Amino acid sequence: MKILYLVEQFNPDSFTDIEVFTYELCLMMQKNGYNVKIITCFSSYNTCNNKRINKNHFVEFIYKGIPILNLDGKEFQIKVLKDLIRKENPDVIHVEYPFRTIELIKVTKELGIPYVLNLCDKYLINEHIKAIDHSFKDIFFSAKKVIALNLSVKKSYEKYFQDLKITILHEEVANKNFLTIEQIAYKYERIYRIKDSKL
Amino acid sequence: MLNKYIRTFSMYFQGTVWYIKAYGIKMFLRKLRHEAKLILSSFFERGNEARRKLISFYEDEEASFFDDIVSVIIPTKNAGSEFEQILYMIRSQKGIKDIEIIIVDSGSSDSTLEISKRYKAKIIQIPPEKFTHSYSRNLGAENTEGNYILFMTQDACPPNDTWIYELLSALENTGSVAVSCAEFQRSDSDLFYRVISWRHSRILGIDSNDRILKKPVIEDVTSLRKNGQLSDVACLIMKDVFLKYKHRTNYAEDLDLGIRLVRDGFKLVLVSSAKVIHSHNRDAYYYLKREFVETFFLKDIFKNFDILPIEFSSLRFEIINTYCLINYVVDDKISTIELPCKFDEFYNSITKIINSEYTYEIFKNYGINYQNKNYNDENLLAFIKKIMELNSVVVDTSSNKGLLIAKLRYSICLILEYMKGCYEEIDEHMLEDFKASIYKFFASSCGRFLSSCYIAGTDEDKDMLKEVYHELFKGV
Repeated sequence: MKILYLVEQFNPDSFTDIEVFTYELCLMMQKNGYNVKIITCFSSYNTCNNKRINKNHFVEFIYKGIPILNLDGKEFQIKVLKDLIRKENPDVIHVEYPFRTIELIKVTKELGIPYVLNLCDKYLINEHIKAIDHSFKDIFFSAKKVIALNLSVKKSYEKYFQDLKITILHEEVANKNFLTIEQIAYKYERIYRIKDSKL
Repeated sequence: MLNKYIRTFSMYFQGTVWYIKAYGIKMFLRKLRHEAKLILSSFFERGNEARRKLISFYEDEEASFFDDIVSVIIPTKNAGSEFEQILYMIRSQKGIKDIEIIIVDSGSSDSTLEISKRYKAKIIQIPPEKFTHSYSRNLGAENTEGNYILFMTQDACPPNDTWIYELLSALENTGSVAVSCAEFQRSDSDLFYRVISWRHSRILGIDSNDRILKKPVIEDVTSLRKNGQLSDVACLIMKDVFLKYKHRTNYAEDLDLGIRLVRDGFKLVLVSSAKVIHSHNRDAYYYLKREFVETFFLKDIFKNFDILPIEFSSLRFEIINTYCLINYVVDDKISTIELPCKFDEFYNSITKIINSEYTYEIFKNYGINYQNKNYNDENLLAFIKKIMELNSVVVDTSSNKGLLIAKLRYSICLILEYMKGCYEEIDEHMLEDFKASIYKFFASSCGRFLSSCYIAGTDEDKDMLKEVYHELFKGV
């Protein structure tokens, strides 16, 4: 089973929380026999000496065992993005920061590939609220699963998407201070693997 | 697509080569005839196909509450820093009336007992010399209050708070008496462990399904293992059934119990829809010991268990020379592969390397004293040295069958078969894991061959291996 991770930025040189989490989740899924790849819009890769540029001008490199494909901040035509996703042929796509990778999610939806949305912060929705139109809503409601980082993020999104079912996956980490990356990855595995599963 | 078939064929081909070299063409033809019978019998059994769709039991909106006590039994000895989290997760389980935790401790000197008390576990202490896998678990079971017993190990962790509920549901919904589950790998799990775990799941048929196990039509080693495999890493069993049968062997006690249960007409269930967090990252020498010990017990459990006909003088020659060959291949051949590269390129390079013919002169610089410390533990090296010192009989190299090398070629094909499922590109990171796993496969094959040598060998061989026998039986 192949899983693509869409994340706005992935900087091996300067990680932030979401990047650390995405990398560790990828590694856990790979350890459990899944084929994983990260697609990112921005990345610095100065310390990665294995980078190469493919024919579509995407920059590819491997960071500690995880293959990364970087769009390098460029805007690509829908056809190019569609070809990219088609070529990767994933079984499921996991999205961090949905607003920042919106074009890729649209393409994913068009291709009929199931996707999971991870809502990481509440500020983005406020920032993008004016842009929320029917197609945006459709992207949220068509997701295999929508996951919020915590209750506060969930409530922020529920203001705009009243009927959207949002699951809190990580809250237990804060509450019980006891979930490991293995336990979190196990939850995600069930989402990717089991049809319409609950957690 | 064609590549995929070529690779799979290559793996089976290497497996066949190894089997013929080890057991001879006559045994191979007998095995082939037997496998054909198995395929035929499974065709007729299809109506009874015991596979279930992969669903989560907790999906049920009207999930029931089990008005029962589940007694969790964990044999411990210095359970380590993660033990508290395991107990915490067990105590957090939902959907069950109560959980009873029973710790059977055989001489912990760390905080295991203190943590156990904090989580209100019942503690049974036994002297370390009395510990066996069966004795400690039987003792724990005799002191339980629940109707269900859940055997766990001190390094197995429930992944969520509905895990026991899901196991219990699987047991109840299928009318089985015991349930075990697949493993979810830890973050430090190495490639070797992942490959053997993946192969195990494939053999058991739980890589993408849950399975109900029952008595097979043909009771050969493979069918019985496939249909009687319980695992004490996580095994939930009805208490009344367990107390009637109990564990009785000092090793592979879970498999022995499972086989006795299916033979007596009980159903068991293996689930991959619920998993337990468990894996290892052990050194190569541990796997040598484990395989050595396992062969003795499997031989006792299965009447027709194949024992490799090999003399110690020949095996000694093979162990030393194969070890030197691996050092040569790892350092002089595999390390020169240009990275990063696509998996297909990596596959072709490795296949080319392992299919090359090597003469012993090539790798004389990588002899027994060559210490490849990146991948070898000191114990393995010390053990190989000990093997070298055991016998001074000079073996005629031309009559050597090259069994270990054939087995290793097959193992490398197996690693590649696994890797193709999760790696599209290979970098230094993965290559290191790959190299280390070659040494671990080598070590486990040595263990298997040495035990065969001891079991089927001459009195002279047994005498020579006496010290090795005692060393390898310690600590598994």
